Amino acid sequence: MRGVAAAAVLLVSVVQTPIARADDTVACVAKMSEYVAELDRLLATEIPWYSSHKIGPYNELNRKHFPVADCDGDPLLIEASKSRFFRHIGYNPRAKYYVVSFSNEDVRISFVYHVKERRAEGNGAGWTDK
Amino acid sequence: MLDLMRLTVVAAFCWFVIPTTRVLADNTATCVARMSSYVIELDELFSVSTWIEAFDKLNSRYFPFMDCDTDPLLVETTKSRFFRGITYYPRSKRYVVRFASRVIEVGFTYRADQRRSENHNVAQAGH
Repeated sequence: MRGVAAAAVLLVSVVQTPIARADDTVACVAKMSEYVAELDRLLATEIPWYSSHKIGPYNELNRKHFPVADCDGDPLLIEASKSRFFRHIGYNPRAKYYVVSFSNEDVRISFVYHVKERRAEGNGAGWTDK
Repeated sequence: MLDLMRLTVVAAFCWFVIPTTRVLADNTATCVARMSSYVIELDELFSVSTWIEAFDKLNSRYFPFMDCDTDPLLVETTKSRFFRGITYYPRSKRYVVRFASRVIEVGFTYRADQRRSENHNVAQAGH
């Protein structure tokens, strides 16, 4: 009887460990929160239109914070939507990805969350067509 | 022995009844067929009419959509010539689908958590 119980405990711990490792949602949400705070600071700073080289820090920011992997989509997207400069989440049901965009009317920046891969990647930043 | 038999009967009951209930609650194939038909009629209407009431009438014939898997339903909407995009609201798990011509905008919301559509609407474009 003890042997069966021990085997059951072993089975439960062996099966659960890889699942726990594969889900990094809590860390992802914390990282997204950090990204949003930095992005909001950056977007709050006005950039004159003639200083186009100033787009660099946005791309750097995306390189610094992405990719993030093994995350559930909704908690990540909800965290992103807390940005002051959050604009839109578009969905492509064929390719199963979400595009999250932010803008301060001068600069637009976005990232993509791939549902199947459970992974978010930064997109490039650019100027808006205003 | 009797307990073992009872347990077997209960297990067999669960095995057969639970999957059946799931199949009944999943209406995806019908939803996709209906959305496909809706999109065809919508595209025809966009091509010939700018009359809001005609779009309202069409919507009231097709909506609501219930018990559908979200992705197959949404993929069907993207086949419209007048498809303009899907916006997602993660807090409420709502997908808002938009179709538009230069004159008329048509949209509806699909709630992934409740597996049903709501708020289908028609408006003049730019309003």
